[in-house]
Amino acid sequence: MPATRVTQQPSQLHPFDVVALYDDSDDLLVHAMLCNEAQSRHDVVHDSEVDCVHMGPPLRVQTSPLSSAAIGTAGLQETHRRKVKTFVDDRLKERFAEKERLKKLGRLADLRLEYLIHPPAMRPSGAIPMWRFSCVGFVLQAYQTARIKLLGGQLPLRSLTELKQFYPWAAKDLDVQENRIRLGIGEGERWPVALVGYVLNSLARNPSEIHAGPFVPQPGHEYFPPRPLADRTESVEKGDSTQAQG
Amino acid sequence: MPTLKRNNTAWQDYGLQFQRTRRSQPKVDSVDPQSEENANAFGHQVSCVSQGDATPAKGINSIEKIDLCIDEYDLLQKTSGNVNTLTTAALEQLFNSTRPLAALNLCSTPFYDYFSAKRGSEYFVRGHETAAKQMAEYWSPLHLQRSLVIDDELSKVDLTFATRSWGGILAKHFLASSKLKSLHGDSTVDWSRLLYRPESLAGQPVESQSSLLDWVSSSDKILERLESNQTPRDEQLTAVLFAETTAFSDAERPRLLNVLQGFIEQNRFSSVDETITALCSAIRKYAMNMDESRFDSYATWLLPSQTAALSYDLELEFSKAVAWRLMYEPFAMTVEYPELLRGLYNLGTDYLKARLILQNNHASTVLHCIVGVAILDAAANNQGTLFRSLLEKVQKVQVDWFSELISDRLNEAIESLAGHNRELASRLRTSVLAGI
Repeated sequence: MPATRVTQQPSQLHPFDVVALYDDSDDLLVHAMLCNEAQSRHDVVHDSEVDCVHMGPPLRVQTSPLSSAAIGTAGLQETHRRKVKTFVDDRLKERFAEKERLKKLGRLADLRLEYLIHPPAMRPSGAIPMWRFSCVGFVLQAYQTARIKLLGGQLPLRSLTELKQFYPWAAKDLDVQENRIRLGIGEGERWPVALVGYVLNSLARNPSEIHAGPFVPQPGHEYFPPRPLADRTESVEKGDSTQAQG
Repeated sequence: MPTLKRNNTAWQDYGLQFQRTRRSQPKVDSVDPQSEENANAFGHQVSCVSQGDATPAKGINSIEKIDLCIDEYDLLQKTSGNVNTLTTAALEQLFNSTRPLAALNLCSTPFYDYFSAKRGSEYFVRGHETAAKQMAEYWSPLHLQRSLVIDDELSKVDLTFATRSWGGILAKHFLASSKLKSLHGDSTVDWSRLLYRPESLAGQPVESQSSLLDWVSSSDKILERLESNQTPRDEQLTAVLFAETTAFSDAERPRLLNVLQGFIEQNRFSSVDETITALCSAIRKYAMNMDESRFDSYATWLLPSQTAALSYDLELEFSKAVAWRLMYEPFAMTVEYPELLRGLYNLGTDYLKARLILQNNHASTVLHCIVGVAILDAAANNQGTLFRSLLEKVQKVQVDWFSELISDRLNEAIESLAGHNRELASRLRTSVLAGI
């Protein structure tokens, strides 16, 4: 199975495979990362820890526990990994600069300018001369470098209410127009935001299918395994999506 | 309750004048915060706790260590990854142990993670009177203030109204312990902000921090500091770092470019990490904002001096930034840029060997050089001589994944150029088709 929840049963995890974290409800995926291990591992279980590179924010390398996680592989070959590595390494100095800025300010202000919710990736400009990503965008862009397009088609449109469920840490921010603009959802009422669950559901396909073309997510695919639409609506109404999308 | 000795120590990290209290007992296991080995050991302790290994006997010991060690910024920095891996279960164990203070400390670290911080605040809000008592006992006023008033709004941790109301409970404990009067004498703390501050003002920084916030988000103040030769070195580096993420008006842009040019010229051979990080920021900002008249002088920065060469990290950043400039921002095609064209060609050629492009991130440097040469060649309408020469060298290298990367990046460049210069995009497309 290319994508699976991490359990007590040992799983394989390869460099630059996708690691995704669940929220407390254990079926909504809220954060996406790339495995940053130098070698493949064949012993990954729920109490393992793996090195990952991800858009926290900030973009960083970090050891992550897999106690509540899912992993997905696209069957990357060494040549794919070289391409992804080129992309990741290219971000190195941008990452250092952002880290220094945050270090200087501590927690005084949220100047995580390298982060946005939508679109998942934004190219450099004169105002902000570095790539900006959501956690999903960082993964998507890395895989695109390896000619693997994980998501395609029209992504499901999400309302502000739904986004507050998916990004509870930003719920108050999302009420402020200025913050919504900064996060990329300034205009309109619904946005095609790329969510973590979409990526894992994309990787749940056969590798040949993954390489052949993108996955077109539907409502309910923010969960992994996916939920039928009726279940999803009910859970959003109950407000059980309690963690943050990275 | 352990015996305490209040030992206020000034902290200057993050521009905060930050006082902490320490226990009188010696550091557990003589922890040396500067030691990488101890940092790793501490990290392991945190990992044990995060994996639910905080059993009463062993866990308390771990928690003790954590609480002691997080006083040290350096150690915390080295192990921030581990701190951030604390799980819900681990935090709950910390809070339910006799040392909820340790958990609160972890939650208020500058290297917090949304997950752990949010969860921590939830436990706090849920009502840990013990935590309040311990905070009143152990924490310095400024630490308390920082955690309850300053941190919440600004750091996006949802401490919100419910948690702030704990300020009153904490104050009660401070009063009960007869410490408020003596603490009130601490001139670094504005107690009114903690005790009486209305919610609407809670997110606003106190004066000592607001001065830093004021100028790093102001283009004019950043320029003032970069233009003054009285600016301390550390502040100059800070100004360069924040210049990267600040928008400058058209009127300010020449001033910005001039100060960044000076900074780059003075520092491009530096081997100091902090300087190199700021230098890379300066390069990216400069390149993305420079007008065409500066293209050829930019190329001179790619060259070594008589006695020093650029680090390969900087070569990558120089080539990347100018490739972005050419791809993403319009430029005039009425003049040629022979120095920049030749500079990128030479740099790309130097690394175009299989054994080099498989090392470090030289592949990326070559990639950016090729994109830059392709665009400049197309702009000059000179038959793409240098571009074709580079592609021939790429073919000789015979690294398929690298050739694919080049092809993809050139297509991305064509697509990007089509958005603001259709003619150039068309020329580049022709050139790429002919070359590949």
